[in-house]
Order: sequence, then C-alpha cells, then structure tokens
Amino acid sequence: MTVTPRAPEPTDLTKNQFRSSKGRTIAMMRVVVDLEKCQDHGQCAFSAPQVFALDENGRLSFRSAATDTFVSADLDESLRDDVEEAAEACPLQAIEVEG
Amino acid sequence: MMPAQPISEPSGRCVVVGASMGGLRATEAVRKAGFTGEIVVVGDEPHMPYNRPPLSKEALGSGFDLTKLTFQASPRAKDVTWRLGERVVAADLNARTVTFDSGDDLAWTGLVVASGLRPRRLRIPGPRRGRHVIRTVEDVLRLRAGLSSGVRLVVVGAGFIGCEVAATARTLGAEVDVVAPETVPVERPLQRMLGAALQRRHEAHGVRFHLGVVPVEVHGGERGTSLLLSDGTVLPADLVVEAVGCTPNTEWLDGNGLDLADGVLCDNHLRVEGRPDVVACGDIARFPNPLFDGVPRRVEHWAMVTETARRAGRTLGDSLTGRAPDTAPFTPVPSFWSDQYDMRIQSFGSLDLGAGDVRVLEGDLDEEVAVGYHRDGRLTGVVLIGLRAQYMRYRALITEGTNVSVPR
Repeated sequence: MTVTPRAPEPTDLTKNQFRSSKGRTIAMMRVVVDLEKCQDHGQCAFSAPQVFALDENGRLSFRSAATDTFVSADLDESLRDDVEEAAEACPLQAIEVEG
Repeated sequence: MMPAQPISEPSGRCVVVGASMGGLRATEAVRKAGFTGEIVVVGDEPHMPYNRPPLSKEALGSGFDLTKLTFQASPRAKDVTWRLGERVVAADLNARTVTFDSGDDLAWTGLVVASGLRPRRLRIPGPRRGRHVIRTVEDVLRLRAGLSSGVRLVVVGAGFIGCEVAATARTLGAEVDVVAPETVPVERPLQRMLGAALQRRHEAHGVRFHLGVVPVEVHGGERGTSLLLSDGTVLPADLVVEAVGCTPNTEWLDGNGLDLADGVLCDNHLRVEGRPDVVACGDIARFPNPLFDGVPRRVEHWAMVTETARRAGRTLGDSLTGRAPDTAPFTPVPSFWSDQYDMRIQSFGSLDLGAGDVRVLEGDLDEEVAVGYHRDGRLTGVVLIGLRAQYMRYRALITEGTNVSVPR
C-alpha cells in the first residue's frame, strides 16, 4: 500500500505548484522512500534535515506515516540540492527524487 | 609552444576513468555544473555502477539478488557514453589523452580520476584454489557458491571487511576462523578497547580469532586446503577470504610527474596537484580536509566517495564551462558504518586523529556504547554501537567541536 501522508513538520512543504516567469506550471518535486530498503542510517537527515528526520528511537520519522513506501508532499524547488544529496547519500539507495 | 587554450568552450570531452559510484556521481556533478559536451565513462568491470557495501554482508547469502545493487543514474547522467569492460592503461596529462588496453587513444578537455582500489592479495606460497577476495559481484558469486552451513572458512584480515564477512558467514552457518597480525580486530581505526569489545561479540557468536600471527603458506591436498600460520598452527580451510586491504589503481597515471605515493594527491577542491582540468574522487583521492587540518589523506569510506565526487565534478564542470571555481572550503564530515550480526557500528569524524585518547562517552562496551576519540582534549571522532537515537547529537558534536581553519 502506498500512502501520501501529510508533510512532516517543521518545514512547510504543502505549497502545491508554482509558476515560472513564463507562466508555465512546473511539476513539483517529491521524494519517494522505499521503507523496506531503508535501514535507518540517517544520512538523509544530515543532507536534507528540512525533509528527513530520525525519531526518538533513531528510526526514519516517515515510518509512522507509511509502511512500505513513503511519498512526500510536493517539495519546494529550493530543496532540490539537499534532497538529491540525500538520495545519493543513502547507503541503501532507498530514496528517489521525482519531478 | 602553443599559447594556452582556454578550456571554456562549451563543447569538449570529459573522460571519467572509473565506472563505479565515484565515476557516476562525478559525471552527474559535471553535468549539473553545466557542461554540455561529451562525457565518456570508462570502467573495466562489465557492469553499470553498482553499490558495493552489501557485498561483504547480505549479498553473501545465495538468495540475494545482485542485480538490485545497480545504481539508479539521475536523468542528468543519461547522455553519457559508457565504455564498460575496457581499461585505461595510460594517460598523458599534457597532451590530454588516455590510452586504452586496445591501444586506442582518446583525447579529452577534462579528466576525472575515479579508478578506485583493488584488493591486495596474500603473497604466500601454495595453490590459489579456494582463495577469494571481495570487491566485485563476480568475487561474491564465486565465494558464495561455496559458502554454506558447515563449511570451514578462514578469513585473513580483521578489518571491517574481514569482520563483516566473518559475521555473515557465521550467520550462514559456516565455521569461521579469523587470522590477523593485530592484537584485536579492527585495531585501526577503533583502537584496542573497542576492538577487544568487538572481538568478544564475535567470539560469543562462535568466531575463533588467531591474532598476532600471519599465514605463511597454503597447503593444498586432495582432502582440501589448509593454512599454515606463523605460530605453527595449521587451520583446515574449505575457503579462504583475503581481506587484507586495498591498493589504489594509479598505475595508468605513471609518467606524469604526479605524487602517487598513496592514491592521487589533490588540493582541497579535488584538483590533481592544482591542475584545472584533472580532478580525482573516491577512495583514490588524497586531499586535505580543513575540518581537521591541512594534511592530505585518503579516505576509504563509502560516504566520502559521493562527497568527493560531487565536489570534484563541480570543480571540473566549473572549469570546463569557464566559470569561476567555488572557493568555499570542502570540509566533509567523515562517516562510516559497519553491520555485523544485529549490531550497527556507526562512526563520525576522525578516529585516527584522536587515537591517543579513547574514552567511553556513554553506555557499556558490551551493549550499546558511544566511544570518543580525542586530540588535545577535543573530540575528533566517535563510534556508536547501537544508540541510534543519538546519531544527530554526536555528529553535531564532531562538526561543532573541530576547529575549521580555511585555506584558500
């Protein structure tokens, strides 16, 4: 089952889409995390702390929102470098950046 | 002599020597920096880049699907020529060419050195049959074909790879002996206190250690292979894994006047001895990290491959597109992990720099523990076993606790 839960606190990730200077609608970016691959290394939380976090048990916080696949809300383009770095830094390569 | 050509033409060709994770991430970073010319990535393995850490762990189980290890390349790296199963045997940095094993030359305007490491082999007499290393998927396929319950495995080398193989093989039901010249496993970089704790955990799982000795000869006979140790012990061995470190693949750079004493000497921006058109990344790059000091070092951590590749690719991409280089210092936080049994060992910072002052910071060496490594009373590195909720806090202590002085 794939669920799309509410975006995590504290950053406001709920902005939907924005328009470029030419007025085109730009598809927004999301991260998709394979929670079965994920082994809670936490590298993502160092690379993109606005998006990823470990909970008080050292587990990826998204585990409370999904069981097998986590799909984030749309993320602001300004986070792209960080989430791409998080995807590259994941030892299990469990993060995909879409859009 | 011809006047120096600017290397800012949008065309040109970037050649990446090494088609593993470093080559892939550097390629993506060169593209990200705006280079639109041709990119050729050369790798001697016949595979697209794949992830190696599982090779000494779960991939040793016969049920593990090795095809899952292939990296997803970013869309940026799609428009790239992959020359796989080919080997670069020489380079001329002044003429800007590389030479393939076929004898063909290829000219470049930018070069990425990402040729990585190869495993060292034991130089002892005796047959090679049954002796393995772990670096590639082919290595793992050969090893795991013989690795099953009841098999007698001797692991030579008690570093992280050796210990991971020992743990995995025990989990698979093999009889495991570990042979190493140190006094405790993973003596470097963990040092004795934590290495001894690691040894106790392995012994509780049934691994037998033979420390302070080295293998001196392999005996091969009809009834199998055995290993003669320097103290006279003879260890029967159906399989031997040689996990005795690695050698940088730098021979193809010989003849260019580079310092190749230990990998490839780079500046803080990963330029090879300051050249604007040649960068290095990954296990092979020896660079200074001003997070600690100005001494160039090679780092064989998985995470450092991506960190150096991103920076090296950006450095080269900026140069190839005529942009001013990013002058911000490159200060990556070293970080590694090792999975053994149900135990996650996680490190941040430099253990070597604090090797003279090692203390338990919290917990119990035989349960969950944080061990700190200090220089002049300041924390330079930390190792955690368990304590996973504390990762953020200890990593922050490393980044805040070290003095960042910035060379330009």
